[in-house]
Amino acid sequence: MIKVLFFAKLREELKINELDVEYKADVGSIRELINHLRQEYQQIDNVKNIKAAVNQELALDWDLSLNDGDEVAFFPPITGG
Amino acid sequence: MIRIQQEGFDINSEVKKIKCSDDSGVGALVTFVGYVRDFKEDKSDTLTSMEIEFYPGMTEKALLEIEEKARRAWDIFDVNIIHRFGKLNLNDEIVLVAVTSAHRTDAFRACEFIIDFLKTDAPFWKKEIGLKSQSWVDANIKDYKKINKW
Repeated sequence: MIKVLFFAKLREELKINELDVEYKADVGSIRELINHLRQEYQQIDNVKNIKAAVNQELALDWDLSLNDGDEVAFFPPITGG
Repeated sequence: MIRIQQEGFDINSEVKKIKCSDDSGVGALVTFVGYVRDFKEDKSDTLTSMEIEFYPGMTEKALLEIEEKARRAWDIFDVNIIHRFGKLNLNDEIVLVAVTSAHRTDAFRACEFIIDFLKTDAPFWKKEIGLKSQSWVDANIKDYKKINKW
């Protein structure tokens, strides 16, 4: 399983904090995972410049392979401080 | 020292945590405090409060990493970082960065470095609550340009 988390505007648009996605060949990277999620949650496209983190590390390369058990978070650009 | 908390903080007591009166090697203390101000993008509205969200686990790690980078770059003694979350009202304090060192230059640089990277690398998100509407704050391109100078 891949644990997927959503934050801030993305969480509100999708009306969901987290979900589990079965780990399989067609969700082997961040890009494939978000494309998979987009089929059910078209509202993903309402948020611009989405960022991703894998196992709580910011992931710049969305083609990097995911592993079973990974925690993947999607969120809008950071605006703290 | 890194804390993410809902409650407010007292600047004097937080500063004393890293600068005791018997710390005779400390020659400089620099603090940065960020506050909730009325800067709603929709100028016809007035900001009344703010909601801050974070990513438990990742946010603490990101802050620790920023502190470690600052420690490697400058000769500093101690760091106290606090960032609040949840509902904050206009004029409430949001964030504290306090740094001690032997000399002012290291403390100034390290404090600025930490707050600059906190704004781009530590996962916090702000939502502005106004009298008429509420909206998530857009990332400020200036903040991202600013970190290129380091």
